Amino acid sequence: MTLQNLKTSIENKSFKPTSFILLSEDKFIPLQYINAIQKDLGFSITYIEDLSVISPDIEDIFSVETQDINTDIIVFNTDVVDFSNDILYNKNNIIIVTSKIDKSSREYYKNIIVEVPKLVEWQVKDMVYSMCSGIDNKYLDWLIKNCNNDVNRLYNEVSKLSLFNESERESLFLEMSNEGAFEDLSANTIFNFTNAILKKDIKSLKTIFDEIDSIDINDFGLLTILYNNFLNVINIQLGTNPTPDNLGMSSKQFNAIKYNCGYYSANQLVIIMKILSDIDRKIKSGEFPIDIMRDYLILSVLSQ
Amino acid sequence: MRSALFDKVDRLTLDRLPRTLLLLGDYGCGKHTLVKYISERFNLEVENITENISSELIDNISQRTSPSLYVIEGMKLTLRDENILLKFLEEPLKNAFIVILSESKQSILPTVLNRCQVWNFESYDRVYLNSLINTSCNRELLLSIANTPGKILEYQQYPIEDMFNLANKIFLNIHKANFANTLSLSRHLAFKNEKDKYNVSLFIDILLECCRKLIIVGKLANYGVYKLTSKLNNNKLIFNIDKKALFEHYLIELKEICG
Repeated sequence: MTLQNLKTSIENKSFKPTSFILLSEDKFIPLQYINAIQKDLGFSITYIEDLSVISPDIEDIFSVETQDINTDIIVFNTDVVDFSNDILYNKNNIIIVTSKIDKSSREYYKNIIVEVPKLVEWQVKDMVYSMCSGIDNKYLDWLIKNCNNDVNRLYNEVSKLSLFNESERESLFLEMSNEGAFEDLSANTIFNFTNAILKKDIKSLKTIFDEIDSIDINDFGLLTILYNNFLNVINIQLGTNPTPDNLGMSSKQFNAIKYNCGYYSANQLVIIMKILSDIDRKIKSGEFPIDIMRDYLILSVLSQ
Repeated sequence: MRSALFDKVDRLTLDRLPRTLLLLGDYGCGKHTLVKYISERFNLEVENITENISSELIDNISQRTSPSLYVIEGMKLTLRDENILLKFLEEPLKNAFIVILSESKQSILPTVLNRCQVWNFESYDRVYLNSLINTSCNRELLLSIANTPGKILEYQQYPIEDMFNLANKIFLNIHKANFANTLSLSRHLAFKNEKDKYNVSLFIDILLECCRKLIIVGKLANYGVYKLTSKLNNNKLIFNIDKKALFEHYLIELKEICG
């Protein structure tokens, strides 16, 4: 199936449930397609956190009872597809939404991958202008710039404005803007920051660091999140037989942490934990000034 | 049996009661009990001012006319608090008696220490402590880690024997465990006051005692382990310290020493 086929089948209401993978760098458009399948065509959709819920064959460390899900379409939203399993060929109602697929899985599923291009700048502008007709484009351009062209963030903001009558939108926009409703807009949160450190993603880290003052980051909160994240990685990457049960976490959390493993060696992880576990003591005993804590955290972790 | 400090209070009159006093003694030795005794003996109102030390409070106190006892938990003082306190201590007010409670001299600034009369709680007699035990817990183990009445009364409700067994296992087996397994030890401790886990401060006391015993009987040859455990025991007293991070840091260093 191609994207054009999918689009046409939705538009002329000829779409029938079938299994395929929607692959896109940005999940915004794939999720809009799923919304359209649900709302415009009336199919029931169930989101699952793990494919093992519907198939006992999925290789997994823990055993999860499979469920009978009574729904037209099952959607599995995941960051990466790195498995090859017959389930998509055996069932005809599973849609996987993902932003990455590894080489062998891509080969295995090549007949059912639908590649969805990311929205480019003019398309994002088009979307914003059309949803916010009645507001001068110069204001909308300012909003797009403030949201760093992040289509997910923009969609959230313009959805609110589009609820109002066209004649009211501009005055409302100006009022909200004067009250600072769009100030300090950053698409990033403390979790984007810590994930970038966890994955040694220097490129993302640089982007986030450039707008750090507009992200709500508490230094002790940053320390706690990083500490817990690295501890979780150690438990899974260095553990002998890690399972969600024996680590006291949900399967979704377990799987999410698995994808954060492997960016640091065992030795590096131990050194990082040693540093992170001693910062609190150093600050509270006065050995270490709190105002350099954030920079110290980042540099000492990334220098490993 | 009561501390000799109570007799000392009995021999004093109000005008001979020190204006600035530092009561020094382990947790559970009776510091708060002595404060209550002093307030009743001299009919003084007691106010704990630890949480709101400020210049405004000191000014407010200077205007009060009824004599009062102001209690400060020394272990919770920040550097800022201690500096504000210095002014208070340098020019004692007519109707104010200041009592600082602390488990350790090291946690008090020398400049504050110099302005206080220090009263040390003496050690308690083992026979007396034994008489306070009223459960079927292992008395020998309890007496080896509880040296004050408060500790005896509190600790006897905990599974001391199980905690000693775990501490033993840590020292004797840590060289075999991997890092993930080592760090999982912190799951046994009640960092968030969980009822089904071990009291953190007590477990650290037990670790130190266990380490000492293992070195004496020759099962632990590495004195560095004792130094590290002793450092953990001291650091647990730092006010507001993240005890989980502290303990996990200790486990990492212990693992590194033991191999």
